[in-house]
Amino acid sequence: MSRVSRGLCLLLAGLLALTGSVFAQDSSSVLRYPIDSDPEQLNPFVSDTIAAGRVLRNIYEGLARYNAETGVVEPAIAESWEITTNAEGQQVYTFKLRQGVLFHEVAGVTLTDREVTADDILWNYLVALNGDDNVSLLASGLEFILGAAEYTAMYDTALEADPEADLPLIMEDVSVPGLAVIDDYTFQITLAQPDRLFLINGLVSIVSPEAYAALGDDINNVAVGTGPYRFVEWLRDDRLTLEANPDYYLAGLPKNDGVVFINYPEASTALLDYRENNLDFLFAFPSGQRTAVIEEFASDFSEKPGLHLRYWGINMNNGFLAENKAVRQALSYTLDRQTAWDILAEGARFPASLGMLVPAMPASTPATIYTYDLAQARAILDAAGFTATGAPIAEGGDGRREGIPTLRVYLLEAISTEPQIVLWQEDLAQLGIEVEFVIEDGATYWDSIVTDESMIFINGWAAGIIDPSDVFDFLILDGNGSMRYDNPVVNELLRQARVEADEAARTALYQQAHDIIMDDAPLIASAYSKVSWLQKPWVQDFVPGGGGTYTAPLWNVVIEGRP
Amino acid sequence: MTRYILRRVIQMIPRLLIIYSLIFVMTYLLPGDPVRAIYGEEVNRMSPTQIEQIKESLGVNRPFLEQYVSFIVQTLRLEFPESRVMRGQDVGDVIGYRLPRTLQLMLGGLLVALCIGIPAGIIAAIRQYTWLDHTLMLIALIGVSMPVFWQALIAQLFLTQSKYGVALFPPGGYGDGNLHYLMLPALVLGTHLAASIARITRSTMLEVKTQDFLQTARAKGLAPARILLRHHLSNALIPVITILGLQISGLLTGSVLTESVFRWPGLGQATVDAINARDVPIIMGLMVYGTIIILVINLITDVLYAIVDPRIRYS
Repeated sequence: MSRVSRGLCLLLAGLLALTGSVFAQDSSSVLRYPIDSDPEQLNPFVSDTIAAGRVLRNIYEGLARYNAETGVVEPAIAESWEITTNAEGQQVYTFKLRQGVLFHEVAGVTLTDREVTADDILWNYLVALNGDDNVSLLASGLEFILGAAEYTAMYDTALEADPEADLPLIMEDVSVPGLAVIDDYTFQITLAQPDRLFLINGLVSIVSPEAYAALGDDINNVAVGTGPYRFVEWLRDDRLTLEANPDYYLAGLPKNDGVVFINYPEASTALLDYRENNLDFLFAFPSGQRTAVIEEFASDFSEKPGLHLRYWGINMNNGFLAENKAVRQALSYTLDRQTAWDILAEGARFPASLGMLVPAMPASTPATIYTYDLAQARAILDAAGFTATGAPIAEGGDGRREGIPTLRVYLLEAISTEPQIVLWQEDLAQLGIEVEFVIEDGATYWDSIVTDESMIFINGWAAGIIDPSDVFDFLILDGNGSMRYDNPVVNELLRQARVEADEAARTALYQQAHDIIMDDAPLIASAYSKVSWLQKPWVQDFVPGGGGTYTAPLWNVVIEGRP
Repeated sequence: MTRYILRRVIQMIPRLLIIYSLIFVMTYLLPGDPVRAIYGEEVNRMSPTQIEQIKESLGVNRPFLEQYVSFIVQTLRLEFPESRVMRGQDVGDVIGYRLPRTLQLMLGGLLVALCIGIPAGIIAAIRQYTWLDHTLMLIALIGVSMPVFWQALIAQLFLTQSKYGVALFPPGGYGDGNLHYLMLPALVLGTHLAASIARITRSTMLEVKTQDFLQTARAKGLAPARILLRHHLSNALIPVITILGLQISGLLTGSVLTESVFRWPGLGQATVDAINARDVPIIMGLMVYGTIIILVINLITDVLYAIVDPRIRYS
């Protein structure tokens, strides 16, 4: 061996020896939390992805907070609120702010005991209503505030005239009638029209105005809020560190020293670190290893029903399926959900046994429920005049259904290996229907499925709250979803439900809508999600909601006896 | 030599322009709506005005020529365009943060490759047709044939898990630059290259073995070690350097998978993310600066020829 090579080898061996033990043991109670992708940025005015949300919800707070586990809105910066109706019949929310809520003190920003007041709330709402997309993406979601749409429109008009216009962050000389500072600790919001989900969808995260000004563009990389954790450091694609906020207004919280969000693009690497006790949780199971992982860590495993829907969408805009309700219904009877999800997918999801709402939601049981029944599917097709000729295709015959074209089915690459796909294809062949798959990645898929080329597509919807509106308003109302199902009767029912204050009456409206939708069969509900995770024995009080593991309030988690 | 290097540097400019234009056209022609690529079906929650505004702010509504010229001008001014997805981050931030990490991984891989590949090639050549030669070349063949990501998974299983082997290394991560975190990814990246180097070293060592100057050296009574290092190996190194020059570019691209498996925050991972999100400014920036790195490596390779072999002179 040459001297140079020998030297290099010795150097390598020396480095290995010098580095000492493999892992330093962590005696603090900082949560080691795996994430599958980095947040894009930390500015709450422009961050609306789950990746950003799961970090930001620990740093920033609004006036109130939605408890994903109970479905109840709880006080946050506001300690209480009152809902009244004014002389014009408009809904008025009067928030009483907590005294002594302090903005975080973060490196690079000088704020000494800066208390949150109603003026800060107003400033944040005005920034949120800024129509410049570079400043805020929240404006369209706050249009129900009295005068908000007009305020945002001023920005839109100015930007249309001159896209490079240098517009102020907030228009000091323009007031939004629906936003009012009553005193330092009282803030009032008036809605142009009643919205029973205002306390969930209408509350913006409160950012320190001084930090926003001081940080400039860096507000995208540094977070200064009021929440239970404060920002420490972000190494992109590596880890993001938060520490417990020592000035948090709720005594005893957080119950741990902080959180480190560790980025794992590959689920298999996270599993290796979990096995070696370098992580406190595991949220994603490597593909095809779900059963093995659950068996290996049986005592660490937890599972609960989720709020997400996996479905096959049908192009309802035009084309063969849009015009043939009987075929859509027959297709719905052809999907063997039990075998696909309970057996082939190792129980990764619950087979969709009802309709397009998960069982936890009101009005979740529609009048028409499609269970796997090939005989029923055949009968429907026969009755509709789509008769089979000869033996089924699956048995080598030419038993195609007369009049049914080959169905062009779009598959999103990331989920194109789900066992339900091949299973459904085989059952459709039994029925005499041929399918042709087109697999595309995320960059083109969402465009392709809303073209007329697409007849059926696989999709999912992640509801965030336990309310039918969070599904219907985005997948059904006014043809919003990629199916482009636009039924005036259903639209009217959904609009009425949005403003109906009485819970029973609202549920009845959603029930009617759900019945009509499922009878029309613009989609085939396939599965409801499970929220599954592993947590180490030393982790206590980790309670996620149905929206996903990211909804768990981390500030309640206790670490005890970690080796 | 200085004039030669200067000439090569000047020649890089038209090459870069051509490559830049090709990459821009290919990126422009990529199908897909950037807004949907970023937000998926979350777009359903946005109003049409909002979607248009996002497109406007992403700059994807502008005509092809306008976008192309704007990119060229920015690059010539050495201005870094802003990411469309990661607000507050421009190409300079992305490269500045990730390039040193990728270079660390590349250099680590190179070190491992040289450390294993050259000695293995020398031993195999000296012990030609013995069991040692056959064994080393069999291992090299396996090393060349095995995909990097597969090697990575196997190495992780047996070298990071006490359940299946020995927990010698952490399964992944950058570890604030701690060398311990670098070792396993470098080992995986390097062993693949080591296999190629071992094979080429053996073959060129055997070619040089029968040359007259070696007979002369032996006749002069030089020590075997001196003959091996000064005369035999140094004359066999030229093809090895050629292979190294080519393979280092491979290390840059091969690190994409390694970075992902070992969650190493380098350029590879950033490139994949940028392509998935159709983040054109970042794609362009990474490609252009990646091209510059490869051109510089090629230049260094050519210069090394002259250093290793005194017979080579550039005018």
